[in-house]
Amino acid sequence: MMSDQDLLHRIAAGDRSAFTAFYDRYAPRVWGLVSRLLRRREDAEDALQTTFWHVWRSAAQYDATRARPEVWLLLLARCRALDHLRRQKPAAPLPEVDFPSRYELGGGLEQSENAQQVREALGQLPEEQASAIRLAFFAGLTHEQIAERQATPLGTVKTRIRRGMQRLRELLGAANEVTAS
Amino acid sequence: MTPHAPHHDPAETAALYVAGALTAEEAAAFEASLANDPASLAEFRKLEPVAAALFASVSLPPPAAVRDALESRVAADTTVRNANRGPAVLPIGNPPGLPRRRTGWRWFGAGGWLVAAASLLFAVGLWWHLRPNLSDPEKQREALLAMRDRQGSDVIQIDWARAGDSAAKSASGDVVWSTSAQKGFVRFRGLAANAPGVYQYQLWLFDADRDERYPVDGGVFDIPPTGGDVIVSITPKLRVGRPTLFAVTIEKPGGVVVSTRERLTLVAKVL
Repeated sequence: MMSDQDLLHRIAAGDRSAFTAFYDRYAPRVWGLVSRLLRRREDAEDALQTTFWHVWRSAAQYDATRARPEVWLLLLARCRALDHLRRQKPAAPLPEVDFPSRYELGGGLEQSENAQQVREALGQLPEEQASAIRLAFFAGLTHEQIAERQATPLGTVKTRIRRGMQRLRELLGAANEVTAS
Repeated sequence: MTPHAPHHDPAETAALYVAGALTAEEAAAFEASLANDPASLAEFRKLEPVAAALFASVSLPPPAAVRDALESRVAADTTVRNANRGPAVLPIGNPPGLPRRRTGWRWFGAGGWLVAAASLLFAVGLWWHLRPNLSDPEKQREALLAMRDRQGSDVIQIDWARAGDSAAKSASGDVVWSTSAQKGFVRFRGLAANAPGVYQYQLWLFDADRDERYPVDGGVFDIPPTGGDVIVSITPKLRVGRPTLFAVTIEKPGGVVVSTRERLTLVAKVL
């Protein structure tokens, strides 16, 4: 199977088959992300399309020293979705967040080992850390909005997210080591 | 210390960034810092596996209609690209294999030195008219325009044409430019006001002596919500020898090195 970087190089050269392969490989993740952040289906479809259109037009901008290809792509998709989300209703009250529970997370791919690992790792975090991460990652709330929602000082929210992400790194790294062995 | 936060903790900012908890402005600043702040890049890369795992955990089958639409769009773009004999991709940084810029010496045929001398005299005159005590861009623009009819003048004035982006649906204005002085002004009326922390306008100068994929950055600017004419001084980052087109795009705050031209607002073609 061709590597992500090779696909991006070929896309940059105008290879449509490479673009299709890259789309098929990562469109489910992009769709899962943007459709969770953007409630309206047409908005999510637009975000999905514009994200991959950007890949087609700007694959040569990818810099391997910054991020691996799928992270570059998903960060790009999230940026577009959050721009849309936060631009749509800047003055609206914070949305009711139905972030995925530990049982719902990864529900789109029940057999996904990765989803299972993330679910378990989030479940091992202190609830205040997991909650802050869920509100940011799955609902698109900024640290200020999370602080407001949780009636918690901003600094506390930042600390919770930092510690939670660092703990997730340890847990997921350990899980991958177990998987690899 | 990076420019995006006065009390910047790379580990904390990277965690907030990966979690998606930064505002658009903060996220853009952090992304910019990855280019020149090794500490930020190191912290980000530590958390990259977490980002990948979180992103993968929300995977869902995408709608087939989007794939079909993209395939059609890409096929159409390929056709246009082939017709124009130039790729649509826009590499960032210093792209390899760019044709070398032709030096000015090639243009010095018979009489070339006379042209050069006339241009030099014109440039000196122009400098006098545009000397620093004329700090008001409107006055400087008027002074430059006043030079247009003088002998040896290379001052041009071109009206903007709208390029389809909604931000420019009511926009008009012009470009005034002198190649010998490497100075000019763009004037706008009716161009949508921007929120500088969300996006900015960026001017580009296309040069016949350069690859059209890599126009010269003419600087970023903002349009305030006050209405009326807005005049912006053109500040090209590189010398522009033979301008062919001026263009304005919408970019992330601070501008970009190479634009994808996804949001092209106005163009002014040099005839």
